[in-house]
Amino acid sequence: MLHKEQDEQDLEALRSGEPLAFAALVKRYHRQLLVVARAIVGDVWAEEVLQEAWVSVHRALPRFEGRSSLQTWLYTIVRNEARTRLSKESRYVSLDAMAGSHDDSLDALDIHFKKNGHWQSSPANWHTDSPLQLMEQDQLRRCIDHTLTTLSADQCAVFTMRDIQQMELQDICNILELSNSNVRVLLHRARLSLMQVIDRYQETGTC
Amino acid sequence: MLSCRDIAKQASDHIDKKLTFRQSLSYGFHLLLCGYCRKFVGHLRTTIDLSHQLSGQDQLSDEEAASIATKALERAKSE
Repeated sequence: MLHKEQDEQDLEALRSGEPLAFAALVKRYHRQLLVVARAIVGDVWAEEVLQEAWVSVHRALPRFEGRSSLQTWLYTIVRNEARTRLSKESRYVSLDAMAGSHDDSLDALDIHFKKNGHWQSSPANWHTDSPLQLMEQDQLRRCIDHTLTTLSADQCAVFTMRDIQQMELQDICNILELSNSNVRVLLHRARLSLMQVIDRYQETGTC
Repeated sequence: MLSCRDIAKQASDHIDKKLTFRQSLSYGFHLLLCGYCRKFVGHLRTTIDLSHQLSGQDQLSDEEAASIATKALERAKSE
């Protein structure tokens, strides 16, 4: 079942403060929200910020009106907690100001092209194009997990929100306070990094 | 006329349907003619579909979730 469907099922229990429903909500979202907290405040404070955010979530749940999805609402609370923390530490730097400061995967793409913009050679053939079959390969899963840890915090946040949580690009821009073009560049870079890992795995069977 | 490099750089925008009508036409025309680019875009699409499968796989254990939830509930009640 998708997270959103589960959220809708649990909403009444969450509004009435049911502890089991709240624990289930924490289970569903904690890791993904941590990725966003890390992108804004960094590793050191992310866990602490998220713990604060869960307190705020619990307090605010009875008043949640459903004008946005629960998922978007949770991400917004984490963003606000993270910003509050950064202002306290007088360290607020918008992600937008930092985005684009590293340029890896897009540049890495260039080696595949001739000066006239045509491919040097054909992209490799993949043994399987089925995502389900690919997911069944434990070694590849480990390679993907490892790659996610090597992405920059902002790339990882955008990728998690868009491709794993399947959020709308505009919601991601609003939550992370990034411009649409920066979100799209970060997303493309993250996808290319992952694609290169799958490419290498298909060719060599290793990361 | 878009080059193959342009196609690779705009592939996410194509898949996410963020190209303008004019850009989409030009993009689609290139794909029609270029097998290498069709293969590249296909691989990127598979990568994205694979990422969707990751949803729900990276969750806390029941014990970890219960511990974090309990701490938050206690804090919320005490303040």
